[in-house]
Amino acid sequence: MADFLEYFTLLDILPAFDLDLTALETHYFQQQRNNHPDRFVGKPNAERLAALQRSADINLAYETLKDPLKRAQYLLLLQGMYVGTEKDTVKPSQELLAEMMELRENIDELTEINALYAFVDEVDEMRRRLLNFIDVAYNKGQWDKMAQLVLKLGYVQKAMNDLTKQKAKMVKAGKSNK
Amino acid sequence: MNLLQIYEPGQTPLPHVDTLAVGIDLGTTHSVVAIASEGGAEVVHNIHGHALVPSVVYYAPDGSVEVGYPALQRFARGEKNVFASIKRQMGQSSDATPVKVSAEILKYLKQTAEKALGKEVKQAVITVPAYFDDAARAATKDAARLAGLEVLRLINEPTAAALAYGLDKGAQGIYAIFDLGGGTFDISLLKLEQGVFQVLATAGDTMLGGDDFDQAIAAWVLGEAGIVEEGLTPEEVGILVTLARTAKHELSQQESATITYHQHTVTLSRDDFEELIAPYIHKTIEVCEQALADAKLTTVDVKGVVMVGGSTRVPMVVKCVEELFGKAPLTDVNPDEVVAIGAAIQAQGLTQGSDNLLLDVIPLSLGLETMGGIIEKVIYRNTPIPVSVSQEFTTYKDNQNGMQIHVVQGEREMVAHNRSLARFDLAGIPPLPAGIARIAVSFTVDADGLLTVSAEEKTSGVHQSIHVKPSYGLAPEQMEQMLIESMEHAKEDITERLLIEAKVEAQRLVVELEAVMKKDGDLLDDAEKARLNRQMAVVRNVSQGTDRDYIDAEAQELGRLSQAFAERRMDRAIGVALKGTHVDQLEIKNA
Repeated sequence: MADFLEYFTLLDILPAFDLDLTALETHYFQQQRNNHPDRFVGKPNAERLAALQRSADINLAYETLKDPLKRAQYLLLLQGMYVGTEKDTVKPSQELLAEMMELRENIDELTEINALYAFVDEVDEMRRRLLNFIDVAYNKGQWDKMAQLVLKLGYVQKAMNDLTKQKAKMVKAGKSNK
Repeated sequence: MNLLQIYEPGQTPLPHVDTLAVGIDLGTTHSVVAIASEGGAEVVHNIHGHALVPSVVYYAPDGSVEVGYPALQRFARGEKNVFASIKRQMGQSSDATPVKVSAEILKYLKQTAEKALGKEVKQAVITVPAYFDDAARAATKDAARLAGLEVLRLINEPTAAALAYGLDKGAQGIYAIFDLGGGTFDISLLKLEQGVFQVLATAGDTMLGGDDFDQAIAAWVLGEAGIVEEGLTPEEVGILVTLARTAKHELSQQESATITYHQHTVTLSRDDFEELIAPYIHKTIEVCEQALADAKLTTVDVKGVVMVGGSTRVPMVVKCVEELFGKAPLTDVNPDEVVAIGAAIQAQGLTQGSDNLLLDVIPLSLGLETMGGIIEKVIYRNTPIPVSVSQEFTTYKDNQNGMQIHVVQGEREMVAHNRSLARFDLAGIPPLPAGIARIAVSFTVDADGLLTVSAEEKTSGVHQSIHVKPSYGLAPEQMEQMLIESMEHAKEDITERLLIEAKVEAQRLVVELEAVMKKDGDLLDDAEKARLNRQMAVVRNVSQGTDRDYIDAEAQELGRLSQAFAERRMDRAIGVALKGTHVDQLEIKNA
């Protein structure tokens, strides 16, 4: 496997942050139709091995590009910037850390289900705005700014997951009280 | 598991005109063979007119073999040397193993198809429970090889069902396939769209099925009749289970069933039956919820639930599935035949060409053992296959020429709780200072869900491939043993196995830690040393006992206590060579 797989080329689409997911999926299916090992049954071994590797690469490309966070991290990786992996080369700014700390505190203080629902909406809105900002930064080639925004997106998505878990817990507890 | 060899050699490049490729549902309680042609797909009936062949094999004293109903009748009479459900060994025989028993069933199905179709059958698509791990898949392929069948593809049972259902009904959208068979349970969520059958998530339990319902009824009968199970011969248990199964079937139609056993006549009402099986059904619902969560879907997204497997005829199963998904399950397919039909369609597609595309996932995560018995996941469950991931390793000693890699499959944190797939040595690493060698190990899961591992040393200028030598896992009898284990039903056997594994693991941990403490003990201060020594003594002590949770907890604690030590050792090894570069920066991972 190459160090930098060309995910966009593999799926036959132009590099961008703002991707049409339906079109991406159509391209993914099309590439798999042409390359999936099922298409190479009965062919010589070398051809089948090549198809296996290509099909695996296409899967990896799709898994990466369909998710906005992974896609943004990949776009930064193409600029030589590691964000949100164990080998981060970009560090969060002090402001970002402070802001995210506050977000976490707010989550921890939630005890009531309606407040939680309202907060979920708030975080969701924050996430949507971030995606827009990332797109703008990407299009302008403002990589450092984009890196901070992508770090933030990572935190926000993690917060969202925690909120979902907390919601499930509260709903369960609510049910057993009844 | 096949190492460094994904495909079988000697496969014929193109299908012969005079041979056929069939689809086979190799089930735990019964098996079905089907054939597809331009006119459509249909199941093949044997000379007695049956499509369903009980997965039961009888080995006669003269060496002859009986498969299907005749063997089932012997089983019901409590005869010896009868193997039912391949999962559970009912009789006593020294040379019948799950792989061989499965091979006999496959051979019988091959002959049945050849007789009915008048052509030779050489190739097959064989279905496996979606939740089968690597070892069980490899064993299934071995059984086919023994039966003289070339496996075109292993496909997951729910995926096969979705293929048959989707093509038949022209279904589009997200569908759940709820597959409750005799011995296994699978749930798969698929997106069906213009000939694409994309599995979004799969979950299951290879030790949950209708056989559990039989066991529950049997235990209830014994309780009612005041009979102690320990006093029964295996033959008597066989007869009781058969009676219980008959009662179960009756309870799908009637409100009560009467069982007469050992002069006792007891009546089981449907309500009482449902109470008996409720824990199993609740388990299936929990598994469904997990699959939905993995696919990031809610029940609202699911357009329809297709019921597959004979055990979905139990009314309570239908009721609970309807409650969960908020819609009546689709029962307009034959739950016993749809899987084989789907396999036949795929066999035809693979040999004749087709526009359909099956995109499946790996059911269980693959990981590597790291120090302390903790697993580092390399490929997460529900990742689309084929998948290929490369991980880099380095040496921690100067001139180190080998290292051990232990691949496991499962979701748990500790090695001891997951299935060990392979332990192998990387040998032939060129002599270099510690931390300089870069060994890229690739893990490739093919479209059958089977893992291949390869390795390469890629230090600049020293391109050299490294031999991956499996230390175990390839011998057929070991594979068979793994299959038995993976299919084993009796809870106490599993508890026992887990206990042994936990003990071995705990002791291994202590031995390893002792060895490295002798070598790199200077990295620890006295307090740390004392703490580790104390915990090692505790682990040694508890691993003499029989409380697995206790052993695991103490071993885990030891792993936790030694974590910092492991990191320091790693830092030292790499620091020497790379002037402070953190180990993580040596890895190349495509995020």
